[in-house]
Formats: sequence, structure tokens, C-alpha cells
Amino acid sequence: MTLIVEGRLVGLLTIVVIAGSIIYYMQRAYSGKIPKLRRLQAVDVIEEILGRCVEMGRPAYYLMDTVTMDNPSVLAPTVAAFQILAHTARRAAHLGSKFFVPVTQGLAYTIASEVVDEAYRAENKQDELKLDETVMYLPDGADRMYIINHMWSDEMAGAFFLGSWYHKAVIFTENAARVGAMMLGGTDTTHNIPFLVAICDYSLIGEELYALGAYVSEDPTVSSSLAGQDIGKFIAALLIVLGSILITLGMSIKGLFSM
Amino acid sequence: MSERLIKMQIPVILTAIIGLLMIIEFFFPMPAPVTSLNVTLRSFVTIISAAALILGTIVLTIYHSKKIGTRKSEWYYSIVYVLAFVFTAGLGVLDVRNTTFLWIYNNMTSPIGAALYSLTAFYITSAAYRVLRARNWNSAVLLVCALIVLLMLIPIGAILFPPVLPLGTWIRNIPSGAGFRGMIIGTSLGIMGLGVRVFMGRQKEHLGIREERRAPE
Amino acid sequence: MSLMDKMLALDQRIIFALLFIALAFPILNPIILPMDIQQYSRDSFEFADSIPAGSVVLIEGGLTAATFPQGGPGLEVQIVHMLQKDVKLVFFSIGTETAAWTVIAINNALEKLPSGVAAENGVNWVHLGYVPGGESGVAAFANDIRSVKTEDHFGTPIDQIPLMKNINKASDFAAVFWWGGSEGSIPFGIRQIVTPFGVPMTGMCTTNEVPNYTPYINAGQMVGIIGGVRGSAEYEYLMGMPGLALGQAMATNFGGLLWAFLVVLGNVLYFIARREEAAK
Repeated sequence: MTLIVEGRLVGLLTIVVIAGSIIYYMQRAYSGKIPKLRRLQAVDVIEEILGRCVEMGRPAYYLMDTVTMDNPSVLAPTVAAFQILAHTARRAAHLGSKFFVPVTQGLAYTIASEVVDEAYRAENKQDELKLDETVMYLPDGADRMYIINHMWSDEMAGAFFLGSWYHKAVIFTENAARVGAMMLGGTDTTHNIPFLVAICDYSLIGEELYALGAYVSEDPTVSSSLAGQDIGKFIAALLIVLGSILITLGMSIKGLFSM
Repeated sequence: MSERLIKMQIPVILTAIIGLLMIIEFFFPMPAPVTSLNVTLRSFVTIISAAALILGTIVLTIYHSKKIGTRKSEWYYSIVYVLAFVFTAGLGVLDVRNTTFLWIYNNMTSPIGAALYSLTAFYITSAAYRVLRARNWNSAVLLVCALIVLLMLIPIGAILFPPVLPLGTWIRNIPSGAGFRGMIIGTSLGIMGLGVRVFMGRQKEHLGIREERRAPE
Repeated sequence: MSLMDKMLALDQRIIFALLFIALAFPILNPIILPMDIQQYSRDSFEFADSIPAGSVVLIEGGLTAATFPQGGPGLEVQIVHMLQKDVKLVFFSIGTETAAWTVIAINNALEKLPSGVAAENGVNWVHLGYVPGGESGVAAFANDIRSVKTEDHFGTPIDQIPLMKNINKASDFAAVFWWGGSEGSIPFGIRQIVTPFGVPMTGMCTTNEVPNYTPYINAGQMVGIIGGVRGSAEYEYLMGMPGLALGQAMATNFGGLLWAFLVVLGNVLYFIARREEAAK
């Protein structure tokens, strides 16, 4: 009986190395050695959008699209979107911006409600929060028309499109652009990233969504994990260059990755 | 049991144990009891997602019932929802293979779902008209590439303008493929980072918990 | 607001109306125009066509109500294609809704089968139904089908199904057809079936997802792909079975040309407006 399932050794090594480097940087942060991270522009963008909403007296929408948390490929970006929601809701409470979070799944609705409620409590603004009007459950399908209509009637001034976005990305972003809202978009579904980049004023591409989620956590050990992810990027870049050279020289490395 | 233990520590520990079980099963040959346990855990997903659906339905029904009761704006639409829900759910509970129930699904729910999906085409066209303008060199390149790839994709495009086929294929295979490769690698790393943080209990927003530092009173 | 400004900020309802006319007219009055077959679709078709008679093929049915109009006709034609070649089919789905739509596709395909073609449930095809757990479910399924499924979608115990007698893991299949629709699940098949077991795979996805899978096709991990309604139409065309997909694809000619016209018009107006402003 083999120790490791055939064909999975390289995958196992990859996970061990990358997870190990993430944990290493997080442990270093515990002992005060925090890596220097460049400031993510999106943090300032969140402030800018909410500030615009306060000035204009119009609401900001926080949309997460698909939040079926029992689907593994949707779960990760949805968790990242909740992390950013916690920060955004707290900033909205602090600045006094009207906030609207429609959610299309029951489980995600309860989580979003708790996140927003906790954020307002942290700012001692729980009296200003009308939770059932701020976080709303809309069944998937009915959400499209409701949100589009209310974007126009509310004349929203800002919008966040963060999470696992599929075909609704273009529908909501285009409508928000026509209404005149300032938008921040970010998803990890690669085929919808171009839509968000083209239409939104600011965008997060792929892993920047997760990076922002870690960055706004206000916990230096969490944001330090981004340094570990960057180790993975360096390894990937090195392998790409090495692999390109080897294949150009006629040396097949396919067998190496099938170990 | 303290509230912190129930709300925070137990869910985090459960997440880590179950997640690691799934990962270990993928890489290492496991004895039958472990594989069987994992199969059971995966089937829990079906049960939990069904429960989540019921939860959402209850929340929505309460919301619309309150709206009818308090006569808030557009409360009459809430009556439509409640009647449709009671009728359809009632038929489904009685017999999910009931002909009327299946008729509602096949002739109302499915076509409406397909129609709403097709809204994408209209909004893409509206967005393209507004966004795809050669304001600078970057957007000019985007515009030209978009036109070439579109003409390649429509059935008659390559017949009308033959050069779009090799050009569009090159754009799709080389620069676009390279860009997508980069995004896939980056996204995978981001998911790994998130997974490590969730397993270690450093991020708990998925449980609806964020240990906020309180603002001064 | 001048006419130029109004044109540059054209009301989206006008765009919607024009697009509706451009799409509705050819659907209601089908116009068949010449069509070039994409290389990806040709590769996918030829791959399916090369499967020897008597082989067993795994098909993931991932179409929903939203994506069935795009992929359903193509899946139905592929089922007919395989059954005509005496290739046995094992279906499964990673979603509950998709499992139900796979049944619809199978039933529609069986109605299109020429008489005399064997198509008995349990002998020529079987639908194992919903496999829970997303990618980890697919991984477990690929390693040991009976650890994940004990009966098919219709409740028949798997050990009573003649077709499943010698089939229990991914390497028992000659090929995989992954009709992923908009699930984004094609990488599940590549990671859990193609890479570890070496089973060749082709698939289907919506048109906008095709660039997502170009890296896998270029790396040889997938053999072509059927992209959206055009891919389904091309499959129908190559099989000589024109149907719904071909009609829809013809309509996309007009929609696409309108799209291109509007984009060019927008740019022409933009440059004229810029020149006028510079002249002022």
C-alpha cells in the first residue's frame, strides 16, 4: 500500500510549502515581526464611496451575488466578502451612510445580519440600524428586478460588488453605472473579472479580494498571511520560467508533475 | 458551557477537523471507516443546504406577512407572494411528482429563470456601447480585441471577415490564456490563504463573528 | 442636452428594444446563414467520434434551467451520437437541479433516436444522479463510485445495474464529457479525473467561460470544448441534426452584428464630439 495516493505527491508538497509559509509569517507576526505590506487602494476606495454616499444623502449597496455556502467554489469568495462587509458596515456606521445588503440565501442572510449588527454595535450606533431594512433576504431570481428597480428609485450613490459573481455581474454593474453610482467590484470567478474591471470605477482582481479581506481584519497576524501567499506566487513564477525554458529545450516535465 | 465556547471555539474546531479530514483523504490512502465518515459528512451538505432553503423561505414569508399586516408600501405584491408560496409549497408537500406542481416548475419557474438569465445579453450590449470607447491607447486595444473576438464568435463573422478567425484565435489562446492562467494561480493562492486562516480560527466572519474593538462611548 | 450628448448617453431601453428585435426576428423566422465550425468544437466532436464502440463514457450533466437552452440541444445530440455508436453512458451530476435537467436531456435524446438503436436504462445508459460535496465529492466518486453512490437517480441499487458491473472508478471509463454549463466545475473533472487517472476529457460551458478553460485546452488537459449555444449548434451541424441550438445560433449573428454596430457608432460619435470640443 502506497504512503501517498499516486499522482498527488507534487500537490501535497505544494500545499505543505505554501500553507507552511503562511503559518510561518503568521507566527512571526505573533512575535512582533510584521512584514511590510503595501497599502491596498481598495481600503481608501471604500472610504471614498461611503463618503460620497454621506455627502449625497443616498444609500450604498453591498451586493454579493451567489452566496450558496454549501457550494465549495462559492464559499471561499463569500467568506472573503463577509470579511469586507464587516469592515464596510462598520465604516458606514461610523460615517452615517445608509447601507443596503440584499442576500439571496437564508444561511448567508443570518450571517450578514449578525455581521452588520455587530459592526453597528461596535460603533455604538445600534439605535440607527434598522436591520430588516438594511439586510434583506431576496430569493434568487426575484433579486434581479427588485435590486434594479430600487437602484433607480433610491438613486444610490455607491455600490460594492464583492464575492462570487456570475452572470448578474454585468446586469447590476451596468445598471449601477447608469444610475451614476461609484463602484468597487471584485470577484474570483475569472470569466467575470473583465466585466467588473471594465464597468466598475475600481476593481479587485482575483486574489485581491482575499487579500482585502485579510487586510481589513485589523489583525496584523492575519494580514501577515498575505506574505506567505506571495511566497506561493514567487514559486509559481519560478516554475513558469523554468518550465518554459525546459520545454523550449525539448525536455518534457509532464512526468514530474504526475508523481 | 460558556457562550464563547459554543459560538466560537466549537465551530472553529469542527471546521478545522472536517476540513483536514477531507484534505488528508485526498492525499493519503485511508481505511474504509474514514472514507465512510467523509461520505457521510459530504451528504450532510445536502441536508444543511435544504435546511438553509427552508430558513430563507421562513424569513421571507415572515417579512411579507409583516408587510401585509402593517400595510407598508406595495404590500399588495406581498399578497401575491404569500398566495403563490402557499399554493406551490402545498402541492409540493402533498406530492412532489404532482402534475400541477411539475407544470408550475416546467412552465413558469424554469422559463422565468431562463428569461432572467438572458437579461445578461441586453446589459452586456448596453455596457459595451457605453464602455468600449477608445479614450486612450489601453481602451483602444481593448476595443479592437473585443470586436475581433466577437466577430470570431458569431457564426457568420469569419465568413464576412476571414482575418478575424486567426487573429481572434491568437488573442484567445495567447494573451487571454496567459492572463487567465495568472488569475487562476492567484485565486488559488488566495483560497489557500483563506483556508489556513479559517482552519486556524484567525478569521471567523463566516460564523457571523468579528471580534470588533468597540469605539469609545 | 445636445443631440450628440443624447446619442452618447443613449437610453438603455432603446438599446434593449433594438437588440430584442434583432434576436426575436430570426428566432421567429429562422434564417440559415453559412457557419464556420470553430476548432474547439471540431476537436470535441472528433474526440467523441473516435470513442470505440462498446466503451463506457462518463458524462457530467451540469445544465440548469438558465443554461439548458444553450447546452441542452448539444447534450441531447451527443447522447444520440454516442448511443448510435454503441457507446455506453454513465451520467452523474454535482447539483440537485442539474440532476433533474439531465433526466430531461436524456428523455429528449431518446425521443430523437432513430428506431433500432439500443437505449435501455441500465444496459446502454444509467443516470447515477446527484453526487454531493462538490469537488471533494467528485474526488471520492472518481476513486470509488460505490462509496458515494449506492443506487441510481431512480432508486435502483447500483449492484443490480448490468452496466455498472465492472465500473467502479474513473479509470474504468474511456472518456469524460463534462457538460458543466455555468457551474464552473470543469476544473473539478480535470483535477480529480484527468490528472490522477489520465482519462481524456472534453466538455461544454457557456460562451463567456470558454477563455477560462483555454489554459487547460492548450496544456492538453482537455480536448476542445463546446462553447455555449454556438458550440451546441456546431455539434448539431456536424451530426447532421439541425435543431434548437442552430436556430438560436443564427439569431446570435444578428445580435452580434448589432452589438458591433453600436460599439462602432458609439466610437464614431465619441470622436466627433471630441473634435467639436477641441475646435471650441
